[in-house]
Amino acid sequence: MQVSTNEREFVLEALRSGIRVDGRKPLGLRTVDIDIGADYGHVNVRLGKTQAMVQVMAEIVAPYPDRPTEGQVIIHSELSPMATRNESIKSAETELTINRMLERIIRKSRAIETEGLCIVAGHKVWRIVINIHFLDNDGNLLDAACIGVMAALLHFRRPDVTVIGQEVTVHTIEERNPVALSINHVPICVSFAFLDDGQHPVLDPTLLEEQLCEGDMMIAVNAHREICAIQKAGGLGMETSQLMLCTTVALEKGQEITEMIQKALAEAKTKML
Amino acid sequence: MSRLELISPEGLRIDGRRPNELRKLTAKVNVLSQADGSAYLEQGNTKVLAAVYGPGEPRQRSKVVHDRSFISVEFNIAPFSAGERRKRTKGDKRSLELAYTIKETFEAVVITTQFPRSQINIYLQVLQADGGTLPACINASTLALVNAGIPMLDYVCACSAGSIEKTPILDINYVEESSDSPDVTVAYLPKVGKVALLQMEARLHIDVFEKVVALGTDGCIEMRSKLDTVIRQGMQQLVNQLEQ
Amino acid sequence: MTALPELSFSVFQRLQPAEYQKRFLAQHVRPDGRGLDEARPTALTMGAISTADGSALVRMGGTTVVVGIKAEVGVPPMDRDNVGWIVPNLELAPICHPSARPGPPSTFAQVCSHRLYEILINENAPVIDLKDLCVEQGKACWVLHIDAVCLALDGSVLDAALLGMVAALKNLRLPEVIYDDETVTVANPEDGQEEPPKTALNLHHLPLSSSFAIIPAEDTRTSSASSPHMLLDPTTDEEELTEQRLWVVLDAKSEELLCIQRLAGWVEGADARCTGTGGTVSMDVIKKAISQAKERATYLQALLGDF
Repeated sequence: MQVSTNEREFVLEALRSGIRVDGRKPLGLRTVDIDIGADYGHVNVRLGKTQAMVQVMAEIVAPYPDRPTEGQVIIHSELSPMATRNESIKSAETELTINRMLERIIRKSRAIETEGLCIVAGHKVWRIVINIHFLDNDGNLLDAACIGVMAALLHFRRPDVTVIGQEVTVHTIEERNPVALSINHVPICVSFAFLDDGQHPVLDPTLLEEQLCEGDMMIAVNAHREICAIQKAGGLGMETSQLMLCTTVALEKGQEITEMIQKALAEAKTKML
Repeated sequence: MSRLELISPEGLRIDGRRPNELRKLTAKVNVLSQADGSAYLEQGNTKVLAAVYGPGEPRQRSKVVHDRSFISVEFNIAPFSAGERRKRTKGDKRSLELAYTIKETFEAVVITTQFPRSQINIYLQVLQADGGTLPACINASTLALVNAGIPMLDYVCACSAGSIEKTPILDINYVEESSDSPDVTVAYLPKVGKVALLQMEARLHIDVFEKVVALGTDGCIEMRSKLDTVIRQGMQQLVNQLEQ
Repeated sequence: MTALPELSFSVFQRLQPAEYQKRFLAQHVRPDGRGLDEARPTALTMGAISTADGSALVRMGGTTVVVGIKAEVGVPPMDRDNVGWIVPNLELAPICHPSARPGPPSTFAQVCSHRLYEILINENAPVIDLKDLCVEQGKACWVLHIDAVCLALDGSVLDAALLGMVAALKNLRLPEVIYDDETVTVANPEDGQEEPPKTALNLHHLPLSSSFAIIPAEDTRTSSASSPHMLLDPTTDEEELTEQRLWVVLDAKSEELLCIQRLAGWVEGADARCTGTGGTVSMDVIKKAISQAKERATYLQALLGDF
């Protein structure tokens, strides 16, 4: 479904006077609602009207021959047809971009300590499977997914194991306290869209804004002021100064989101006790 | 595996380059007789062939855009191009993403509104991969598009950059790429002064990041003059042929 | 009768490709200036790809093929435990010709790959002895992935691919392998200071091929008999003119005929009789083809270097 000229003009005109259609400032974030489930590693995230469900599971597998002492991290994302009205051709490409970007953010930046997932070198390692289901798409799926995945990974506990020689015993959650994953750092993704000839960057774009934008950029940052991944392709070119401005904003928002995740986790903990 | 020393105490890299030095670039346009535009590019040991067909009638009716042409990119990597033989050379996520990234980059730079309802095909064949496949493919595509006479805002010049022990390095090769060093790819439009593509993997502190991007951008500007020479040489050759 | 408007020859070539070609052939010359029995300039570069264990680049006029061989250690086949494998494959990448489509390999590419495989492992005259690829009987052997990528296609792709594969096999150097108690260690140049010795394979036979397009001579007024035109090393345009094509493979070492193939079927061995349908090819034509292929094979053998 295409955006009508009137609607486009309305959005752009509002933006020129420094406000967005949903009342946000250009660099404002929508309300983030992190709902930690009853099971370990089960998280629902709401970013405005965008909704994603994340589930983390662990299974024991044989390691890759070239990395015998490292566990594996697998990411699946699915943009269900019910999540959006546009059954546009782009949905396969969107899925691919989100998946690859998450792999970059989580795997390439080594957010999870994979060596800690080794059980018996060369024979048995943990494989962490992250499943993401997008339930409602109102733009910026990636940021919602990233928040959900990081919260789920921090919340997740895998069963404890004892190793005697080559013998591996898996203890159920009732037998022994399950073990948290060792997380090196918490990367948070912040997306921008550029509207109106690239003059107006908006943070956390809605679906409407995504349809109108000429270019986008995703930046993943962590609390150590490190940039974990950047993706900007297509759209109008961008000046380096604008790029640096965006990274600074991303660092600031990343910090905010990290605190929200910590808060949600702390609340969930008290609820469990 | 023993840890390789990627930068010697004298400040030289594993292949003898200085940190801010590009690899040797050799390129040639007009290498294929069938294509509307073509280029062969060697950036160090990375060897890429690019062909452009079009603008022409679209193959898939469903993809037609009424007011401009769309670009399709096919990326193909030879099974013998890297250290390990690649079992599946097509359709894996990495190749698809690469093709998609290149498509996105060029759709913004090619003046597509000049050719409504048409299709431009870019075919890329990697013969040998030694790091920096994406920038090499972008540079080769630029040459092939210019060679095909397709109007663009500017040359899209791409370059990779990384950082080893806090020293920013330019145009990273395979060994450096696989050593967990951050990998930043910048595509820059030197005349317009804008970044067309930016991609980064692994962790990098914000202060170092700025330096790395600046270095990559400088590399792109240097790349532009190199690409321009190649185009001019190709043109000169054509002129000479006409005169004979 | 009104005179036809004057056509420029490029327009004529576009509109009437067949007629255009035939006018040339009537003068015993081809549009690119070659004589009928003349091949295009052929260039061969060995070792063009440093990431491959053996490689070659072949250019035959407008046809360019790169061949790279990757050697892997594998397990010998169940029924013959003292041999290795070769896996030749020809890939017509979408870059090579406007008609090539992205996607899975076309029927043409698959047929070509199979033909090349049959030639390389021909029981009577194999290029390499598969037993040479055996590392340890029944346990380990070399698997040679011979990948030919066609970068530009302008006819006679089988000739270029076969020459490239033979040249790449000649260029191939296999690292030393140590088989020890179920584990196979490939000597790695990064471990030692000196590069460990690598061995070349013995090439027992040297199959080299020539393609012909056979175009029936229609103009009976002038031509002496109705003997058809035989075009050595045809371009794509020439190939498209006729259904009748011959592929002749000779062993340059023993000068034996390995295979003659018509589009319609196989004729193997020296006793060449055509069994195809759809027009017949006379013995004269076949004899002429063989003698031209012999000359061509000698020339190509020289390109490969001394044997």
